[in-house]
Amino acid sequence: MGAYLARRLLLMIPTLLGVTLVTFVVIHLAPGDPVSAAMGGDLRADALSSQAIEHFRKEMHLDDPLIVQYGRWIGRLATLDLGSSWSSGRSVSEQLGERLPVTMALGGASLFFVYLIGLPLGIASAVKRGSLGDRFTTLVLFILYSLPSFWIGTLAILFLGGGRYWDLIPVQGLRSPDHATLSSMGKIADLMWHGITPVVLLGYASLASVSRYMRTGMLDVVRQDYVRTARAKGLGERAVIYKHALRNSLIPILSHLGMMVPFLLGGTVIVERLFGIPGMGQLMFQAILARDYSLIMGITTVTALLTMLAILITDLLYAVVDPRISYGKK
Amino acid sequence: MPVAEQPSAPRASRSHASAIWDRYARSTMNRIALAVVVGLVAVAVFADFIAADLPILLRLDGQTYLLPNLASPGARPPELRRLDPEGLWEAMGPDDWAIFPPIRRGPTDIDLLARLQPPSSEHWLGTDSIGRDVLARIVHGTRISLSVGLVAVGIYVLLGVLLGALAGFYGAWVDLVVSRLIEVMMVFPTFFLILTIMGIVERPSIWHVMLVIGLTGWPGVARLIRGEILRVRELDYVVAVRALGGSDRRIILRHVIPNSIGPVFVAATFGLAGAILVESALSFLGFGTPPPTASWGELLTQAYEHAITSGAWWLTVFPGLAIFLTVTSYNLMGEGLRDAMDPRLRS
Repeated sequence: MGAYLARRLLLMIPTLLGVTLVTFVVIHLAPGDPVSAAMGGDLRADALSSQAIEHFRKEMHLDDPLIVQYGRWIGRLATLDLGSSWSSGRSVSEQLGERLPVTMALGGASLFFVYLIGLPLGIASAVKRGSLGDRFTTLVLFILYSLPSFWIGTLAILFLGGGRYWDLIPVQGLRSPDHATLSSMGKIADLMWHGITPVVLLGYASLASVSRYMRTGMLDVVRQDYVRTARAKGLGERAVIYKHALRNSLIPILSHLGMMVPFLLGGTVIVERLFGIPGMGQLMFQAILARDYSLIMGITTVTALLTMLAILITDLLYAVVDPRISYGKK
Repeated sequence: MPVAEQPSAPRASRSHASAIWDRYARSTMNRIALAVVVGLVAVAVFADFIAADLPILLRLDGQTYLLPNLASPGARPPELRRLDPEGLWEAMGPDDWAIFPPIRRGPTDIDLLARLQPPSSEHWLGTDSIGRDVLARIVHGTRISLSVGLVAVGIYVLLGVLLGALAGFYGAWVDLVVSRLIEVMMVFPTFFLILTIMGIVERPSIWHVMLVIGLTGWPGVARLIRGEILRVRELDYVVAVRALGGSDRRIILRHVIPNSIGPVFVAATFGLAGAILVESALSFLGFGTPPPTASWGELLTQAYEHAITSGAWWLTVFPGLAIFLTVTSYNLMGEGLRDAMDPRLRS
């Protein structure tokens, strides 16, 4: 197990290098001058003395060959230093430290929501295969899958967010104006109340794929001999499905978990912007607007790392749900 | 397929394609989805005949002009050069006439006196924040959405098939390189990458959107083709072609790819839906098709900005419905195609 883990962690390094290299090349080869953006939009040489531009370029080493710049960036990464942001002057890791927990909580809650609803629906669809309920669920989830979250989000803000129509949900940020005065329980409740809509918005599109994976996995398993044996020895349907079939049918779901992470993280850009949530997605949005190279690099690196960790964890979980898979001896 | 084309052979088996079509058309849902897509394509192609401020057919001073609305002012006949909607009425005499498109507004015609108007007989779906007709913008936005989908998916299917085929067929170091690349791209939060590129390009255009989605979408297709080719590569008929002296190129292009392309078609249909979603999401965030070009996502941005203050529901509901209708139809077509191509997959 330890050896397997070490090997997998080592294999992450070339992939991570690939990701950072692609990002680096993309942002440095694309036409567009970072200096004018960093100095505040459309300021050109007449407004800004060319001397200052010169100074800025020198300070940021923008005139060095790309390979040298990349090498310097990697060198700093090796010491876990992601550099500092041009637009705010603060260190990238510090900003990520503030924003990452927000996004992780949002994404984590969404994952929880998706599995909480999607797995039982998938199981029910498989058990009652071909029934009216099965077909209805499939149709509804299919429609949800085709609804763009920025549309549903805008609709929610328009109709439920306290404009001309109903005033049912909070639409800005994660805290009420009187957040500071609330008791600690009240603070948690306030956060959750603000979080519900973003969490659902981020997650609902994935319900279809989760329940479909679950349904397929379950259908594969209930056809197997050991399930027939369980039924033959007189076990109730509940015990057959939940005790015997479920464990094996979870295996396809696991491979899906790894793919969910980049999808959810990409979705946070939209949801966090819609609801003004100060998370990493919004940071990325601002970083791109400001052409903040080190911030973009930092966020991409961290997201890629998170995705790889999620894939690693699912691979390890395989061994937990399926005793036939073992990473120890080989 | 020389065997099947022998004149003496009984035509017992229909072609593969018509068998797929028969299975596809069996479901009403599938037929509706196809009809909607065909309709959308028609709207996209004929957008200029559906929504424009100038006539389709114009009789002026004894002369007939066909489609002056398609030509830019510089390309029009000299006497029509300064033609604009108001000037047209003044120029027209008693014997002149004109046939207008059903929606008599162009997608970029600004009317500052009619800002954020709700739907009316004048503006069927209302107006946006600078008084442009929402329906005209949705009609012309169809063109953007469908063409982005088509070109972007075209690019990544080509790239994916090429890379996947090379990796699957040659194995060894080619496979190693391609598989590593696929892995890197899979780990990428693709939407971040697309946003980054669109944000950094100096003057973004619709071509950039197509190219960027195309260049980031290929790994899925490549993985699919690679797997299919690994499966097909050792089959008897490939060995037979090789024994007959067929070159690698011939084996790949004429035999292996045609036999593994089915799943790619399905993936491409779903891909169209995905690309349209990405384009509208980009436009929504302000990184997509640049203004003043009409795009569904851009209308939703305005809707978001005015949601609380003006309650302009028509800006939210209609463009969103257009996106939803398109995406659902493509997705339904993908589902239908998948079931029709391989009935065994049906569960």
